[in-house]
Amino acid sequence: MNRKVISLFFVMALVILSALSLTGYGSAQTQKTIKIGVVGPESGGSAQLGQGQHKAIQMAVDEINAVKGTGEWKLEVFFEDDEGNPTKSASATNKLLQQSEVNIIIGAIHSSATLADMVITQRAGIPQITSGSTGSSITEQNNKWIFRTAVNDEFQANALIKHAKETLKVQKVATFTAADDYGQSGAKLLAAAAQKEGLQLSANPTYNNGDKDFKPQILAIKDSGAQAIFMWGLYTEAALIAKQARQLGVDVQLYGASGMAALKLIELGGDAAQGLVLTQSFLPVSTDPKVMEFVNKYKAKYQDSPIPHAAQAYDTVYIIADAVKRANSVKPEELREAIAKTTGLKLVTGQPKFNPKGDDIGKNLLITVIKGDKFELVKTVTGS
Amino acid sequence: MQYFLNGLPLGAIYAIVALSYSLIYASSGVLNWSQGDMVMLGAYLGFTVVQLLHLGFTPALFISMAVVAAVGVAVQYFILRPLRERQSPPINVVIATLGVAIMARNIALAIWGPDAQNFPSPVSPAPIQIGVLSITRQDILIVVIGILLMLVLHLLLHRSREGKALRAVAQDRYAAVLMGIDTGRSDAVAFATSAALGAAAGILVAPIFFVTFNMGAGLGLKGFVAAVIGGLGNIPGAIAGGFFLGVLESVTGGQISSGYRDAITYALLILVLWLRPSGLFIRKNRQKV
Repeated sequence: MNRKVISLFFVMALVILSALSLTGYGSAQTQKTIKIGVVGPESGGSAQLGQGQHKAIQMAVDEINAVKGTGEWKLEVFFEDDEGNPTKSASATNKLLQQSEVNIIIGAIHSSATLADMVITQRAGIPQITSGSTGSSITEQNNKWIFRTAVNDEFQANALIKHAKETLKVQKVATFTAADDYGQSGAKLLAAAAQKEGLQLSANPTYNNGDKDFKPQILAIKDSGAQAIFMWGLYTEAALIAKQARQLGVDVQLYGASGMAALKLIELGGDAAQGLVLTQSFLPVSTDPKVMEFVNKYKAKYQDSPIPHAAQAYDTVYIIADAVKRANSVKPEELREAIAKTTGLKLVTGQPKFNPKGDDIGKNLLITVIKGDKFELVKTVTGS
Repeated sequence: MQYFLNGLPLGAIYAIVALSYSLIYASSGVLNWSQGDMVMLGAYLGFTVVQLLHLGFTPALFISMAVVAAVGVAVQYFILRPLRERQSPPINVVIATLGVAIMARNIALAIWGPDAQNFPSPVSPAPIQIGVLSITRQDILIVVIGILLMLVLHLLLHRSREGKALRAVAQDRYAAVLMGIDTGRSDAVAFATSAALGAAAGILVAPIFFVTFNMGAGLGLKGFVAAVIGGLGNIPGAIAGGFFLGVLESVTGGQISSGYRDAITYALLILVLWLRPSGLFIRKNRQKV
């Protein structure tokens, strides 16, 4: 008897609770908020990249909300630090999905971290846009929830190798890449590009992120007779490699990809970084009016010059805002569909348009060289 | 040969860190896991002195060694001593020093930020070519100052009153107490000296490796491996272990695979612990310090 009463209470409590949670859901709908979760390294070896991403996203969100750029929708943003570590990145993504209940994820920056996060967003059925990861495997997982607004590595590797062949007439080249997903996909793409251009790959050593002594590998490259070294990794290691190469009397041309494109590379590398050629999708000194407008706003807000990752993250928020406006919904499937159909936007780093794999093929690629304390444009390569 | 040459400066740094482990272990029987972070603190303090006070490399070296020595004494006074008085098991003391290490790392992160900092080298970065070999002035500086520090430590241990007391405590703590030696004081001396050694290693390595808040973890662990290779608590062994490890890493990194370099280092650690726990180089004297 008594037991029956208790179980009745229990059932009633459940009904009331679920009704409450339903109205909670309903009220969130009428407020029309889209929650954006951001994952990136805000501390650790590539903190500058994550912090640039954070600042640019915050700026874009504030701008869009101020002018009601998405109609009735309000953007709300949540940031999580992953230190560039895939395990931490996965738990940061989980936290964003479960605690903050975000509708979409921007992140991460390290390709290995993004690959870990993708598994979670796919399982949850939530769209994810990475504005910093360039590893080609990311858009080759048959995962319909992932989009990329960074420049694909394959495009970069081909452009770099071609540029080296055309300007320096090199025949023997070496790659020196990080031993993570990002570096390894770079190594593979560089090797393929070199083969396509008929260049000989004489050495291809790797290093671990966080390593400090690169001299053994540099010596192996020197002994192989390479006329150019193509690095694929992040700025702290690239700066050390440039320095140690010069210390060992290795003065061949150094090349790098967008992952190391940060002013910190120039500061840490000092004289050794001068003349280093690298690809990126954005240069703050450009005369493009869209770029100038973004750079001026960023400088006014943060007293600092934006890095490419910041520009790409900034554009990504605008892509999301545009998509939610068209979809007029945060239902994952509809939001995803709207992002896939993005077209006609003119943003800082190009005119975004996604291919079926989720890669943004409307981006411009810039080949730049380090001169003095900044990157200078060598030439612009347009996307496929 | 070039690999051997490149391994020497790294070896000197490992040797100094190994010394700092062994010195504390020999005199107080404690494994101090915060040693690696004393290296990091030393590098950051040196960096700050150079950046803010615009002092040269040498004053930065001495100021940083002195300040970090004080930190070492504080660790001994506030953490080791109370635990010892409570007769805590050694494992608690070891865990406490791990706590100090994590604290130091996070304080550094809060003060100096997450980004790597460039520490200007006091000497020209251009390499010196000797035939096919090349070496930088900074590398030479590291090896020379490293060896000088080891000599000074040797003199301090054998000539000074504090050093003799330290060696007596290392030999037999109980007997030393009976002889009227203040063991608390000798612990403090050991911690101060070790911390100062760590700081020196930090400043020496900073111009070539940059300064980062987590630099202590890697260097501390490698220094520990070097100390074990030389026999923990054995001072000449620690020096030999440091140079041995530096050259070994340079050669395996270049000739075998850089990916396996750390795997080989730690496999060696396990092998030594298994086969020769008293160290690779020990021969007749089992005397510590």
